[in-house]
Amino acid sequence: MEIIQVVGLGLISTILILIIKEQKPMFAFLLTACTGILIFMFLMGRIGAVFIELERMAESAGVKMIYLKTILKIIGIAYIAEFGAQIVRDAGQESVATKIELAGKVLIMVLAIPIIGIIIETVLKLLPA
Amino acid sequence: MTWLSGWLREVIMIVILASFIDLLLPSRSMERYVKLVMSLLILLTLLGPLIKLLTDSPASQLSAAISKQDQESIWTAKGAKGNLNQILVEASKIKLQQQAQTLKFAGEEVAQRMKEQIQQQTGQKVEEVKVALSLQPVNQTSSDQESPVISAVIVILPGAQASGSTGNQQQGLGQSIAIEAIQPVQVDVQVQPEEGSSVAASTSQPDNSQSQSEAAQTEGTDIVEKSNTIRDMLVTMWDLKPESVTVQRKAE
Repeated sequence: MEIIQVVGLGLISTILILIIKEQKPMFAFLLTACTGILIFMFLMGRIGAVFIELERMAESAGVKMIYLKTILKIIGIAYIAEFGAQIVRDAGQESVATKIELAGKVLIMVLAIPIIGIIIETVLKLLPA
Repeated sequence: MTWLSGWLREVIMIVILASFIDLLLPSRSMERYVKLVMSLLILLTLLGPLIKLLTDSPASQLSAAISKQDQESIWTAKGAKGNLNQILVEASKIKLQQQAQTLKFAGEEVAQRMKEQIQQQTGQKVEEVKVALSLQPVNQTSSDQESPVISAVIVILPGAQASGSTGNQQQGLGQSIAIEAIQPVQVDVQVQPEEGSSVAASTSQPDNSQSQSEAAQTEGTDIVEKSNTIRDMLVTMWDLKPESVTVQRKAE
């Protein structure tokens, strides 16, 4: 039933935004941003439950916590960067949105660097010098 | 075979997690990057036994590398800041400790000098001199420059028996004598015997002290004079406030 709440919220805010857009584009944008944040907050709890469950599963299956942490960090970065970029894009600032996405990508790549380092180290050790 | 099953379990779990995360991903734009990191993780898990054979386990290596990266990174400067704050707090703590120690040593030195002076100038035997130093700002404008100031001096004279009072006087008499004599002249000579703080104790037991008042007079005034001379001497020589000097008799 929560999906109805979310969709209802989205529909109402869309109608309001369409009404208000002619007179006050500024408030229309604020309404858009607030709706986005509300829905995001609403989903936060659900995503948290999913992550807790994932963590529990991984722990019982003997996956090293450091792997799981890396994975969760990646998802977090992706979600937050995406969300911010979309709000900015709604406001019509395409270039800023692109920069936010770039930052997200770079931060994800930074997470990959230690893994790449270990793999390369192993490969170098495998091959005779 | 246990390591094989453990390894297989780990690989399967990581692959399942990776596919799940693929579903969770919010948009297409991040997909390539996330996929790269996920595939690297899967590769690391697959290579796990090999890496463990060559060096130590990949998980511990990875955690070490990530923590090192966190420390270097500007984006996670929060942790480093916490460390810096900790260091600063510890530094100030050590500084305070050092200051307190220095003050203590200086106070002991000053006390030694005062004791010698008192003994030279007045001929009065002194049991102990305690000096409390405190730091005070040099002037009002600069608060970081502080200079030590003698905040309190306690001169402890030998007890009644040691100072050569007549042998037939009991200990209790000696104490009550001192208090009785001091009260009228309003000198803060304090006796620290078991009776507690001087004035209240002496007034609460008048019958005890009253009987010895005549004998007390001579001894008491003697002590008061001595303490006054010691105090005057210290005040003039060390440039002190009179109220910061306390002359006591040794507690029995």
